[in-house]
Amino acid sequence: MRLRTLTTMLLGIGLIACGDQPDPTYLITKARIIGATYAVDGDAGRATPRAGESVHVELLLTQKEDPTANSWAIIICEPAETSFGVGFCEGEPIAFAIGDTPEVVRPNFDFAVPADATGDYAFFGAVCLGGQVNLDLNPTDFEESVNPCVGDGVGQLLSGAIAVAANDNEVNHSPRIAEVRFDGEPWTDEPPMERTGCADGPLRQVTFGDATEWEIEVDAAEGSREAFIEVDGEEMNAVIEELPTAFYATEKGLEGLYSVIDGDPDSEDRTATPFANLTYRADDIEEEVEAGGRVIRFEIVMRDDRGGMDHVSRALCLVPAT
Amino acid sequence: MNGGIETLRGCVRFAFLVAALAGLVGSGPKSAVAQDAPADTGASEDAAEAPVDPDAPVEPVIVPPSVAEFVEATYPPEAEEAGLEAGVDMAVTIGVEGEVVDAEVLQPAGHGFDEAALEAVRRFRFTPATRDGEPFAVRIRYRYVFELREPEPEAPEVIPAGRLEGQILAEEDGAPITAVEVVLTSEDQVLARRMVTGEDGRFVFEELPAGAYDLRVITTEYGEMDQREEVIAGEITDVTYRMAILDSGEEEEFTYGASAVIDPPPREVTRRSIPRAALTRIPGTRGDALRAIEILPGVARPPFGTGQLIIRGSSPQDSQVFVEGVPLPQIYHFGGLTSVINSRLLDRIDFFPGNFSARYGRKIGGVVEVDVRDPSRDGFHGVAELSVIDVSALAEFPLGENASAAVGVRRSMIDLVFENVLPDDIGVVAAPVYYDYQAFVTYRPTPNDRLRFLFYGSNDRFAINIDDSLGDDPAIRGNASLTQRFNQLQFGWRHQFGADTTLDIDVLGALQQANFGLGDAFGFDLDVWQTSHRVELTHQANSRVRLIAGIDSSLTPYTLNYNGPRPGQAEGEQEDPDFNDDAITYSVNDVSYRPAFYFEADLRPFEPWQVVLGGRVDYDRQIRRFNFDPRMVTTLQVADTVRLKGGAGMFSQPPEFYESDPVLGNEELGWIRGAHFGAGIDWDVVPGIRLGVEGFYKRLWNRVVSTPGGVAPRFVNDGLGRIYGAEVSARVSPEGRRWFGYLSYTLSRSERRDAGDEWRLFDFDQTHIFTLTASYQLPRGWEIGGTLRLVSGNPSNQPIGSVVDVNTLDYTAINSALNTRRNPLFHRLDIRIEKKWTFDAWRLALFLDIQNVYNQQNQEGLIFNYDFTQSVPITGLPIIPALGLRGEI
Repeated sequence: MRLRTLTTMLLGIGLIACGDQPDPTYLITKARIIGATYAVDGDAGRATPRAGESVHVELLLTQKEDPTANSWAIIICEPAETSFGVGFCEGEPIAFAIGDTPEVVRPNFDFAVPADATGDYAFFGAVCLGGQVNLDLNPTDFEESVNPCVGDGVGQLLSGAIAVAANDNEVNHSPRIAEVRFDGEPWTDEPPMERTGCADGPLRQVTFGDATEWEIEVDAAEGSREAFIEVDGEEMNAVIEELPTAFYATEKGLEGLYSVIDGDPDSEDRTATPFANLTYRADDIEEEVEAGGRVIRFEIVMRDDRGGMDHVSRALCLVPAT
Repeated sequence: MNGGIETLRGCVRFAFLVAALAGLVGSGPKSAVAQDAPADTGASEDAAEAPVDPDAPVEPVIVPPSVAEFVEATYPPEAEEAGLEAGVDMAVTIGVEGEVVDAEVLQPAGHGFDEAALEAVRRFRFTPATRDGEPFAVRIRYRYVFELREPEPEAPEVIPAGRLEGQILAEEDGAPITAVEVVLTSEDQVLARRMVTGEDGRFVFEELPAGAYDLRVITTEYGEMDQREEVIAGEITDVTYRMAILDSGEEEEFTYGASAVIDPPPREVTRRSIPRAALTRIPGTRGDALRAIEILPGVARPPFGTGQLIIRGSSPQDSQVFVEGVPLPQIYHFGGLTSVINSRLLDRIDFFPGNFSARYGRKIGGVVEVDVRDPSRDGFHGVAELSVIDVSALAEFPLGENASAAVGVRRSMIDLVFENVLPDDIGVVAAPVYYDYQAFVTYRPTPNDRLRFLFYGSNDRFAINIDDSLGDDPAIRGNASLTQRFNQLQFGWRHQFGADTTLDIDVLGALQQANFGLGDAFGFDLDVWQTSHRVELTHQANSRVRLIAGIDSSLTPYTLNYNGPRPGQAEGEQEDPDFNDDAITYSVNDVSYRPAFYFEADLRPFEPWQVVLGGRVDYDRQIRRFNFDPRMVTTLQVADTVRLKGGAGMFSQPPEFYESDPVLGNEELGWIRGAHFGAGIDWDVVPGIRLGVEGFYKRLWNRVVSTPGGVAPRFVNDGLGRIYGAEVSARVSPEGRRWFGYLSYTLSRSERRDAGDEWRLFDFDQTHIFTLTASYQLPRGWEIGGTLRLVSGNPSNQPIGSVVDVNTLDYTAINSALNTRRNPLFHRLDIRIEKKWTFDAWRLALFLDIQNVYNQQNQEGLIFNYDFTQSVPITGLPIIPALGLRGEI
């Protein structure tokens, strides 16, 4: 990368900070995939299968409206060594996964890692909601066709990687979300099926237009941050996992998308936090809130960037100001 | 002040004796009158000595004559020159009316005194002598005394109107330029005077009505110069002009807006220069000479005003700026608002958009050559400038008889403005901060030698804080900072071997550093100890053949520490860098060595036809390959005012260092190649107005492009390029006018083809580039100007979908092809208003330079949402008013 490019990028960042912005990334406005969980058969907490083991992969699909049925198509293959862009297969695919059920389930598939596996595996595919997934899609060359659905339906192209543990150092367990707090209090309210009429329900309520900055904190369970040996060329370094934690919401008001658990609990360094935390305020919503209240759904996804991931959903009830 | 030497003039002092009337005309009684000197007849003496008889009858009352109108005699020139003084005794007969009836010399003094005295006295008028009140004629003795007078203290000069005087000096050594014709014309063209400077180079126009005057200096050796001056009633306007001797002849000016310069043939087909008189007056540049390049045809507009140099559809890294023949690592500070060298130290800026000389190599785009001038040797001069953008000061002065020096410094003010103007919550914790400095010394130990020592540098720093909430990629967080600096020490020696041979040696030693950090995700720390060496020998074999040969080499140790994503190709990169996957950590400590040899034969087979044949051999240590580029340019003067020109040549450029690095790229890469073809015509419609039309075609091959997905070997020489277009230019030069102007229009298309893909548009392809600049000098030191730019929007991508990585939650855009859409038309108007006040010893100027006067929200690109289904435009720089004050002595 040229230094001039970097300069431009930096200036761009500065200008972006001053100008108009599209919808924030954390805002859920439609169906979208916010992650994938990997669970080894017989050891569900482990995200990295060994050669010869099977792994269950589940795509975390969320949407603003009520869940709908979906279909999906996935191919699994050995990845080519690429530096940028969407990866592609090295050779022919070795497995396929197709899902087309009337039930409302998250897209998922199982993959049996070949006994002679020597590296990670990649998967490419598409998910279609409210329609039929496009089986003619060539997931190794998306430029040929980019429509995940045949006819109607809204979909998303996807890629992923199944990390295979070649040794004990590469064995990785998914992090686990231990507790979520809202304004310092444990927050356990899960989203109801109904999107409105929550004012009389048990959900914690916040008032529309309230400029209070509520603190949302997420603790990782003990042992979630594993230590491993990072190999960089000829160097080997002992590293403790960092846990990027993404926050999503169905209404505006979150401070941002990410908070990273990467620090010592006693540290005052803002970029080194022992727990994930973001603020939320209820005055960013641009439209009036229904008299009966509106459910705001939050999705929190914690990952360790080595294939491990955990996810919880929470909800608030937004009520109009009296 | 009035430079004339006051001549010791002869002063005539008279003394005459009228106290005694030596002989009364007629029969009246004689009287005795006291007198200062004996000057009467013997009769009067008798009377004076006669005893007084109290019983005698009452004597009539006699009043002697006295001078009523004195006439000054002309001091005899020879006597004055010889320093002689004298007194002439005369007998003067005065009539009853007081007139001089007769005069004769009694005691000759010679040397012309007698005649002069008689001639004067005969024109005297007297009050007649009276007796008892009645006038009567008398004859008196009168002595006229000639006496040299000491110069009296000069009385304060009364200047009912105004006076314009000045001195014309040679810029190179401060010597007076004599026998120069100076023509003064009043603003209404009614008054016109003409004179020639004296031995001291001075000229004086006296008794001028107040107002503005156009002053033209006409020389053969120094060319012509036009200035507008203000004359104020009761004041002396004293000016000093420094004129540079015209280029003695190595290169011809194919000038864009150049003064009338006739030189030997060109080494380039197209060389566009801006005269110094206009360099600092281009609206929208804040008087920055290097930014004036933006108005030239063939120069595209960089996005966000980043200062990137995009010449004739070439990538910024394909072009180079040179200072006295050695590379300048950066031309502008951050934001492109200011260049890194004080404009007032520049002598000339030459812009070669293509088909440039074999003197320049390792680039396939265009070249900008910056020549600095010698500091003034005629005394101390200085200029200081303060604006909301930056503050600067420059001083120049002689060092003994044969040397002179200049020192300058500049520091940005933007950060101070940011701190006090911008809100606190936008994430920017530090605005761009820059400074630069220059220390130049020129020494001429002999008439045939000129030594130059240039020490200059620049430092840019920019930092922002990206906290968790701003980034959508958790890998990009923390502090982001960019520092770019260089310190260069340059030595130049020019030696003249007789009249026909010149040796130029330029040596550079520099430390260039660049640091970029983006939290833990990205780190770039580069230190470059660059040395460059150029030795060039020019020999005029005869009137038709000139030969040039040179060595151009660089030896550059460097260290780099890098962590971040693998770099992709410099232009046309299809994907954003991935900060999560494939991040690498890399360190290198190596030496780059690039020697080259070049030669040129500048031939005039017959008078109207000139041709320059050249060639250049390059070697690059990193890729271990030689290269040879032949080049040719030619001109044909088909009429006195019309010239045809054309050229063709090969140009080569080594890959970027990371592209041919064995770890980051492919060490088997070869030279990037290009061929330039151009042809055009220049027509001097009338003196000072030139039209030009030129067509060009450039073919590129062996471009370095990424392999699909960046798989090994990551980079290959499989890219092609083609650029073609036409440039139309018109310029009205400032010489002899109150205004000047430039108009340029470029129609071009620049395309690339990457490793077998379809042809696509170049990242910065701009089909239409139109620039109109004009500046007008109003009376009383006012000047106003404007620059209008209309430019096609840069190409951009149109995503047709996206792919989400479910592990990292990153979205990658899917584009049907690169650069398939364009940003809207860019348009912007800049204006500049300046008011100058001229005092006896210094000048003051107040200026307002406004970029983007009507605050057009020009779209520079799009910001997409996470999955590329929603976008909002990124707009460029808003209105930037820069109010400033400048003082000069």
